[in-house]
Amino acid sequence: MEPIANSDAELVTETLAGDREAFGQLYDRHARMVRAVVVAASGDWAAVEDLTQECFLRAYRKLAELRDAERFGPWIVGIARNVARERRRSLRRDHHEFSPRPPDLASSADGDATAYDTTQLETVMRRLAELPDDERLAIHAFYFEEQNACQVAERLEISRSSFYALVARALAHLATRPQTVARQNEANI
Amino acid sequence: MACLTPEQLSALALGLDDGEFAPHVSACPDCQAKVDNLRRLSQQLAAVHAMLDRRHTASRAQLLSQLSHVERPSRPAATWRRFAYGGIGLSSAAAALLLLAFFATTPGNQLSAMERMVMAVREVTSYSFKNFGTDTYLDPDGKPKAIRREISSICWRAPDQANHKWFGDLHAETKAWKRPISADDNVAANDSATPTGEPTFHIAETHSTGKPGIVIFYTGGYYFWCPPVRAVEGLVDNHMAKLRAVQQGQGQIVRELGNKTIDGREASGYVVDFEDAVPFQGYGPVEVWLDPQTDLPMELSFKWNEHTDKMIDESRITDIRWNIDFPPDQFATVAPADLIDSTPPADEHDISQIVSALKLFAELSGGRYPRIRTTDRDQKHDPAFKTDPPNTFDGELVRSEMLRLAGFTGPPQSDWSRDPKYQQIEAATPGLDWLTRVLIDSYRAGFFGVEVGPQDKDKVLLWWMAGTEDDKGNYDADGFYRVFYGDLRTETVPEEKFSELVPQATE
Repeated sequence: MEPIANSDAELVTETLAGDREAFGQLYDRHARMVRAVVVAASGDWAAVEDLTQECFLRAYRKLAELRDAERFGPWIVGIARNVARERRRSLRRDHHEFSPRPPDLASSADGDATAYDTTQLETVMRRLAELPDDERLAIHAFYFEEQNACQVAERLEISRSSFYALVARALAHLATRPQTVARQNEANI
Repeated sequence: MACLTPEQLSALALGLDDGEFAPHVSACPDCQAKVDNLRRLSQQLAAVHAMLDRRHTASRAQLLSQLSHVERPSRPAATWRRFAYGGIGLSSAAAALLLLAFFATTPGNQLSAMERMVMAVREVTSYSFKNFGTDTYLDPDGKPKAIRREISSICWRAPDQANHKWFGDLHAETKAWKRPISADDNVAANDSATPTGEPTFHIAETHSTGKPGIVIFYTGGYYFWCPPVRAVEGLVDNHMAKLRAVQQGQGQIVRELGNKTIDGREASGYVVDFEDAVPFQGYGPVEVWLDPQTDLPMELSFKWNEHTDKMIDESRITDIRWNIDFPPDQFATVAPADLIDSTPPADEHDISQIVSALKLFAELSGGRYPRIRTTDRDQKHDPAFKTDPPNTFDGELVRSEMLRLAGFTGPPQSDWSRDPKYQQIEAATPGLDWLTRVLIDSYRAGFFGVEVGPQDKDKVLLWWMAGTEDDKGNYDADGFYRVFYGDLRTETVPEEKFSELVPQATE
């Protein structure tokens, strides 16, 4: 028999009562969207996991201030935006350059991934960094949430049709640059 | 069927279409090739994101282990946050009340109509209205250079007799759009069309009788709770001073405007001049339109003329509805989940967290505070405005500096968390968070870490406006300020003393 999933409000209440595993379940449920927000807003692939941890640590510290526990999802998305904004600010202040590079594919245990053309992928990621904010977030949210468009639309609190149109537009924009590069490469050959 | 657009092709590649595109693509090699290309791109993106997601389990375990070093969250004791009441609602509500009192006192040749109106407005228990404002900014030659359109919606409901000491229920929301204009722009002061695009200013506040109110500054990304608004506090607002002048009958009807139709109903217009009445200095004549059927005002417009060399400020109050039933949740106070709660701290626990954090910093640094000097609020929020020393208090950066001062440098080490000094710094985080929220997000706050050190017992290191009541329950219309001296003593002082302590803050 499948266990009945607790609501966010119940998990928040249990966390406040001292149950850390309940907070772990909140992490399972919302970490993907948080990753999407911090990557989209900070542009810092390398720090995505650290930033996600930071978001949840802040949420844990301030959990008692959350007045509507059922709104944990939108609340931590708001925290994620702040963390990402601070990260951008910090990077600017420290004169870092934003890196649109994806994680190092070669170091991955995923054999399929290493088969991809990493140069082309870097081009795609660079183009991704140049997308408008809403399109960039749509792409990251869509893929982090395993292409479950309905769930993403719900978590971003926009209509399904709006999200479908947004992510389709974003992918269309993303496709433009790599195709051009590919054609140029073919011409050079 | 024509070939598909890039968006249609993408929708198909992502499986987000409803099946209508597939027949064309199966018959069109060009579209098929594009869809295949998009699917490959989608697979690449999925692979990258899946790779990061693969670290989920390890990250989860790491997160839960870190929780053991973090103070367990618990519900704070319910204490009313004290903060200066200064939102737009009261002013707007006062403007509406101005309507009431205006007709209750205006003498002239329409006396019998005025008397009927006095009777009508005295029975009013609720109302709503909209205010359309237009500020036109002028260049030195007097030509328009920018325009700011403002739209406010205000709802007010009187308290019942048992709650007559409270101001009542109030919900007010204002959006504004500011943009440069050219000579070609046709700027109509009475244009009530909603501007397009995201507002450059958006604030809302809600107060439910006898309960804490909330002010939400959407464009600033934060909100704060404020104490219940008492009836007497309505008189604090400057508009109330105008109201008093009106009540004293200082206005004169100078001209009749005839009739016009507003929302399908006939209205009678009058021009009223308040001449040199002090609260109205700077205003031109007020144009008023009455409903002869109900004896209640339907529309009112006035113009602010005080700084005509710099700006023209015009307002029109319209869509006035009297004695209406509001939906049950009209005055519900709900904190937005995704904005920052910047309510300044008031209870001793929060204050002690701030003091502890600053004290620890001074110990680690050998006798100084973070070298930060906050400047005016606009500059604090402008990322393009950088200063040396910094003008924003970023708790994360201060924490990093504390770690560095304590010798925790380089990549984080797993054994740091067992070090008592590291734990002390970790424990200072809530205080630093408070400082960040207060100093970045509060309306009025300041920090003088460059000039003031632990030895400066009589100089103010940190301050914020705390509200209109001190911690002993004393009330003062000018407000009270929480100040922290260099030696980290703290007290709440009235504005008069605050002005002496921090003259630059009240200039």
